[in-house]
Amino acid sequence: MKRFKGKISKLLVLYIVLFSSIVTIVLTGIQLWVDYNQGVNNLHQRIKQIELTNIASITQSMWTMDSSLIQIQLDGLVRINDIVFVKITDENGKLIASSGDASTKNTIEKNIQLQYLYRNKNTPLGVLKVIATKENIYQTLIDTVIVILISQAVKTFLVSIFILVLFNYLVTRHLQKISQHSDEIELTKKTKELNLNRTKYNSIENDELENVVQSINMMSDNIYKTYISLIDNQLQLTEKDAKFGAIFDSLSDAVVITDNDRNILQVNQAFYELFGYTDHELKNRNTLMLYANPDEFHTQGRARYNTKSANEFSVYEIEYRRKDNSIFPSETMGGGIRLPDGTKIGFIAIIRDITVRKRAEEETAHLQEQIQQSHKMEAIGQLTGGIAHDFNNILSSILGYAELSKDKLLDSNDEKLLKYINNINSAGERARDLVAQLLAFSRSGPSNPKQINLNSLIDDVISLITPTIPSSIKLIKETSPNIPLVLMDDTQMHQILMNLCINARDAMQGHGQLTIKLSHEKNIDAICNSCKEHIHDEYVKLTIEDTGTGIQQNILNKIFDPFTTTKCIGKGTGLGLSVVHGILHRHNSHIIIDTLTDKGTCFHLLIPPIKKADIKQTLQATETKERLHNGKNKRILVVDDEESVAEFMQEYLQSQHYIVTSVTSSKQAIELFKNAQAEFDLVITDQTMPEMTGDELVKEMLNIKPNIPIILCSGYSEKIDEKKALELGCARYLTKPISNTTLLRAIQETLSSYLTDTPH
Amino acid sequence: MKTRSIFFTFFLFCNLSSSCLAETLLHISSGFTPPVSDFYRSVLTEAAKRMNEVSITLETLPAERSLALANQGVNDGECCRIPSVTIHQYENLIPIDISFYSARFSAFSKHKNTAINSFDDLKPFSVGTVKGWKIAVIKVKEAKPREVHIVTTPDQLLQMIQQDRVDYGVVGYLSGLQSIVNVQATSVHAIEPPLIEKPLYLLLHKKHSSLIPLFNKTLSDMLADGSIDKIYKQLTESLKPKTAGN
Repeated sequence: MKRFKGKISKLLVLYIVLFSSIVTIVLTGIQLWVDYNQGVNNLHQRIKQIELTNIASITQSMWTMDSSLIQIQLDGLVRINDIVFVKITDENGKLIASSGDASTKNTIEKNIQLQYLYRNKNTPLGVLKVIATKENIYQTLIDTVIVILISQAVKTFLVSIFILVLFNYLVTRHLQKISQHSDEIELTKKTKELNLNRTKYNSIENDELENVVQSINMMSDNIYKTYISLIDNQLQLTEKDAKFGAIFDSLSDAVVITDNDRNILQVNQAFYELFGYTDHELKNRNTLMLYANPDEFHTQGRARYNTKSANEFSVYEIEYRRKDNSIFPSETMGGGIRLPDGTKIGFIAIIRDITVRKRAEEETAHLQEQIQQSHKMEAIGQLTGGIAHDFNNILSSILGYAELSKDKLLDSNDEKLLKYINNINSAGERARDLVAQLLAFSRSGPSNPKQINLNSLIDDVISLITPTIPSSIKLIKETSPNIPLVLMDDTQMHQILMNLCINARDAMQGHGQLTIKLSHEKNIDAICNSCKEHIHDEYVKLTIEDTGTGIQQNILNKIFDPFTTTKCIGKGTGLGLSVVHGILHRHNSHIIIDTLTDKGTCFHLLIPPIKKADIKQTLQATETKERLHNGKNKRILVVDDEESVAEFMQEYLQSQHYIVTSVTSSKQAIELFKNAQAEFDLVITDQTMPEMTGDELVKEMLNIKPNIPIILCSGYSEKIDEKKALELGCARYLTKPISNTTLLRAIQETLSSYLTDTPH
Repeated sequence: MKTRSIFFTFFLFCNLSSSCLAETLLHISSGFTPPVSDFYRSVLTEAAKRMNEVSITLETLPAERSLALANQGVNDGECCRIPSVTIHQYENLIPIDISFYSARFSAFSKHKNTAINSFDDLKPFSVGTVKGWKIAVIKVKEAKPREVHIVTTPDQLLQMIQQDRVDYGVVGYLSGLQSIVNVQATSVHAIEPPLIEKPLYLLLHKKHSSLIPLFNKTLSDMLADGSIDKIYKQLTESLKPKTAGN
């Protein structure tokens, strides 16, 4: 049987058996159906025969009501083949006689009416019921089926064997030889010719098997020729591939080549390095895994890789995900790959990591924002400073003359006029406060930094502000131990805290929690909200936190601009946060804001802690100021280009028993001083003057007389501030408008200091 | 007017006369065979003559069929039966009050010296009787003889006696005599006294119950004037030469 083990032979036998079985079953079924119908018809015929032959005698017996005879007749009927039960009932349905087994199944039955012609009428005598069984029919059918199936099985077996042998002789053995020959075909060897062992008849020439043999012989010959040709081509291609691979891997950008379904086919060395995958991990994988956002895979598929635009390369920015799940931005150039005949065979993407570039762009953007903010605040500062200077000159005259007028009127008892003068004075003082705030914003107002303990200052502020805060607002103070001292003007710091606490109170609209926290942060890394400078240093952090309405993001960049306010008209000047900005940055401090609409706002004030060297200098300066001297009847030179101011100072100081010479020109003043330097104990000069500025005048005068005490006054100047003035050699620096008391005190302190220190 | 009145009177008379003269035809069946059936026919024919408005035909049928057809109303009556025996099975049949014939069942046998005075005396023997004669069949079965054979006709029974297939046959006296003649069973004779004698009554279907008084009166008159007895004697006379000695 080994020679018949081929699959085709098995299939052939299987199909023959299957087909034969199906045909046998169908034909047997038809035959059974016919036989069954014939058997049933025979039963009906048999009953009909009974009706024809027996009914007359049975009717007669019924007429004579001869029960015995009827019984005998019925017993005779059930002896007929297939009749299993008969019974007779009278015309009323009453059983007369029966014979046989009524419980037999698979039956057909017939009721025959018994009638007797009596007096020319058919008189009903009863009914004869005949039941015939179909069991014999079934048994016959079963016998038939068995015979048919056995005979068909034998026939099918014999036919199958015959066909199998025949097929094997004619076909299978040759196919096996062809198969064996095909297995022996080698690419690298020339194969010997295939010949089948067949009896040579004319009929087999050029039949299907011979055609196959010829084709195989031709194919094996062609394979060997093609192999030789391929070897030659391979040698050439290997050299080209090596060059392409070297170029491909030398690219600094990652390159990925995919098929039309975007399954990865090839990547270069830069791709492995950028994404972190190995060759094995990328095998048979889809580029979907490379996208940071899987939706982008489909978006890009539609936008870049659809059939219409597949040939056009486009550059786009997109984020990818590395093997370690880190995400990076990229600039990708992607497009389709087509053969010369236009067939699309896949896609290529060139990916460049632009993380560094993006970071640089962000830093540049931030720097630009910082510069813009700085320029803006500087411009506003210059503007406000210039206005403040002119206002201070004007206010100096107004307030000075108002005070002089007030002194003159004290003796006249003209109360009405005195009231008017007081009102002028009050208005002037309010204007002076406003100008002072503008100067604080422009960082050019007077400042007296000293080492302060913020803890104590917060307590002072809380005690001051508590009465103004409704009881429905909870005020909490949280401080850390060992908070370093800071170098700040305590008055200005006071002002900052007051401004911020009042703003917080107003933002909470009567309900909430105001928290003041103080902590020492050794490593702050943040961006100042007002100057936009990136800060990373050690700071004392003072936080004012409220649970109010918060600050809307669209005005967050404008809140430090002067006259910007969200409060109702008359409720705020719009200078509060401008002053905070000016004072803090004047003291190298910064401000950070955390705000959330309807949740609240946190102002974090970052103040540099004081250093030990700074503490010594501050102490010396403080001690010097304690020594005062009475300088009355001293000689003072007043220099101010504003005639009203110069006149006022002269008149006022003379009223205080000083000998005063006033001039409105700086050049005139220097000429006068050159000629009569010994005539003056003190010089008071304005800073901003048309011919020669105050600082230049100071230098000239000190050159002429180095020990002359000079008080430099200024409404506003970018050029000079207190520190510069002191470094220049000035004894004092006063900011306009100057109250008479301040002026007088400064003169006394200066003269006292110089008379003490200098050998007169 | 006068002419019209005469015509109306004549028309009315004709109608009344036709209704009064209309006869009721009664089809009576009987399970008895000759000569008893002949006796019945003669008596009923005479009675019909006397009743004027009734005419009667009598037909012999199988005993059970005769009762069944009369009970169904196919026939108008059955002649004649013992009412106590048939009343439960054939509820539509009503007996008249006058019996003009008594059924007398006798044992017939070839044995001459055996005393058979009751049905119990038949117990040791093989006994046959005729189907349809209910009183005889019931009594024979109750006696539980050695063998019982129920045959269809008296002639069959007499033949069986003649051929010694049964020892005794119980059958109506007149029918037995007639069958002896019919089958030439000359060695068979009726044994005296009869085993049972019961008066029989004409049964009419209930649809003819209105005729019962008429039948009662007519048959009473016939009994009284000896007409029935006369008919009976004529019948028995015809059987005498063949039944000599009984």
